[in-house]
Amino acid sequence: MKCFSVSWRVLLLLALALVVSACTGPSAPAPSATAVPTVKPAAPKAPVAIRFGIYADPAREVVAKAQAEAFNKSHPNITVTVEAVPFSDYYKKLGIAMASGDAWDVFMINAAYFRQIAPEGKLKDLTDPIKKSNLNLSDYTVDPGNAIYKGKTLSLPYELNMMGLFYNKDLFDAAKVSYPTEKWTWNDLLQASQKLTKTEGGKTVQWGFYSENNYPSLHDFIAQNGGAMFNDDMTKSRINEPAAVEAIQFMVDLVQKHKVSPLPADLPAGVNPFMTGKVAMVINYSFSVQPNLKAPFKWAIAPLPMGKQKAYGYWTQAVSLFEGTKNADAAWEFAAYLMSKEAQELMAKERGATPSLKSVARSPIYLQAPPEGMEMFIKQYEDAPSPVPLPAQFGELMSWPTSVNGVAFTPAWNGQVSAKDAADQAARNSDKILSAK
Amino acid sequence: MKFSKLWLLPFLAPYTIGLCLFVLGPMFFSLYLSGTKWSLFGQASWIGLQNFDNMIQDDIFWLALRNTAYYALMLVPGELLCALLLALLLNTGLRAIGFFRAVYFTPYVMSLVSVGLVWAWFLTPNFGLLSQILQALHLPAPAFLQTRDLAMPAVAATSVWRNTGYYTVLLLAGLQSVPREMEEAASVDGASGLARFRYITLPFLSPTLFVALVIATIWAAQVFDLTYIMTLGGPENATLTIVQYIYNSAFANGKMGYASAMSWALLLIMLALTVLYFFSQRWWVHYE
Repeated sequence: MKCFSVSWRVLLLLALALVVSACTGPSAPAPSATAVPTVKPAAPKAPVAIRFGIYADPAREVVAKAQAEAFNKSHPNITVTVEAVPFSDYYKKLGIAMASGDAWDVFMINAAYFRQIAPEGKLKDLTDPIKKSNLNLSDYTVDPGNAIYKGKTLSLPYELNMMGLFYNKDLFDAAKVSYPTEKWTWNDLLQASQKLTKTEGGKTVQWGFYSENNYPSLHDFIAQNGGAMFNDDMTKSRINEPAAVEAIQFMVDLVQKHKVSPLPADLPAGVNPFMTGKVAMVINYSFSVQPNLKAPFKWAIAPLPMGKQKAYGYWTQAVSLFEGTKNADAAWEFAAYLMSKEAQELMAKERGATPSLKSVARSPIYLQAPPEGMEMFIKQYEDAPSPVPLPAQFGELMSWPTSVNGVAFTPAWNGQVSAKDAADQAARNSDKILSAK
Repeated sequence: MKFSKLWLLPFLAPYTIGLCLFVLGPMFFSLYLSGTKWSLFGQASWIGLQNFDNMIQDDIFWLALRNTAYYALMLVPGELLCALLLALLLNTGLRAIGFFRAVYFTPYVMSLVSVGLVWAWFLTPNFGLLSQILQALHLPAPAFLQTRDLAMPAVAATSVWRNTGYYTVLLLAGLQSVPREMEEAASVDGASGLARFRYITLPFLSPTLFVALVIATIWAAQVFDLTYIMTLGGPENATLTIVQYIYNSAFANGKMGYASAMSWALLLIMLALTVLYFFSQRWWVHYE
């Protein structure tokens, strides 16, 4: 009997343990734990409401708000609400929303996610609406990898994201170094950085250049050295080839050997390194212009320096319509509006990103100062464009802190392993993921 | 069952229905999913035990398990010992016992996200409060959350700070059920404080300690919020916990089947551990 009563209690307590383990305490995590601000435009409540999903960064929010407001004014029967989600959670939220049938009607999409989601049939086919409208897609910077799937067009080009060398003119003037030019090579970058790095009492207080361990910078330096991160159809990693390893070694040397670049831990967290005023040059993007406008120093944009060849990395952001949208016509109208000269000029004026409409990207509205050097974006695109590879497994491979690249290259940046060993590990683990799907 | 006891059923029904719909139902659905390949969209295709096979060969799965075990090994003894100390101190007939209990319990009611964010700020290298204090005292001020070997201990420390209050309240309740007469009799007989603690307090406290141990272990294995907020699993996967890896696989990589398989593996591990705890009761838990 004792044996039986013990096991009865054990069963009851086990069941209790199971139930207790189902409650994780007072807080249940949500995939996007940060706030999702929505922008309600000034127009009165209208019969059709559609939602526009964007990445939550300052530049995109300013532009999308302006575009939504202008659209709401001119289309009184449609109300557009902008919903911004931080990039790190954006695609998770979008994926779950699409699976449950409740996604945003219009949303931003990049080539990596496009490759993941196009085969699932959740993006509306826009081939016919485009034909019927008077949109001429050759007027825009279109990336077929972010637009076309099996001959059907599933998105519209919204932004061009170029990279540029942002430099702090005040720091250059103080150190009497001449500004970066189109002819700059890696060596020029290094020499200028050395002159721009200052130490006080053994601690570095100012750095010349921020050599960042992220995929856009890696792509730039590798491509400029004649290498590539992946092969053409993105089935194999090429990051441990000599050309790529040399480029990575140069980036690491800037931090460890020449000590002209800070590590992320050397800078205040949560602040754009350029804005701290402690780094004279950074590689930033088309969408970094707007947040840097309020910098307390004079700055300008120069083309990226060249290695063995010129290579200016870029990618595009498109907008797609959700296949299950309940307001297809209104959503299409808004998406078509985003392609219009008016909407693209709003993006140009607010410096959200480089407009995809080439005529606007070349127009004075976008090219005018401040800051100086805005023409560098489109010039680089026309001179030596080098598309950043965005495979479907982008998050696992390159973008998250726990990605293959993040895990493999952090010790290299910390000087704990050589670039070659890190690249070998990255290539091995990337190949595992690339061949798994 | 006696007929007169049938009236129990409608009272039990709401909870039981909820249990089946929201706990047991999804659990068994996930058991089915663990034998499939499903990306959230489209159909789930049956692949049998392939997910479990992949799981055993997945280095990151084992890494996540090791990280979680490391975290639990630091957290559970840490929080239980601190809670025991605090409970013993509070049990000395303090007048302001209610006030102190509230103070120590407060971290537990704070949102885990805010705890994580504030501690991440506190531990920020060079600019966070801890770093500034250490530098002012001319002590080494490493970047805790950015250094591979220090990140998990830092997260565990945050967790100890947060959870201790809960176990303090739990153990305090247990301490107050220790019969006073026994303690007084023992001290009259000349037993020292330590001997009293070892032979009287601890045995009477052991059932509560046991419950606290089981709950603490299960919750330690489920850690997700803190590591997600403070380090996102980095640096170099040092703080990647098993639940976070399951979350990443399911929602970011679209491998629902694989994630379900890992969830069930975790459940089986925790069940085994709990059963071990229950069998160990024989040696150290004394029930009246």
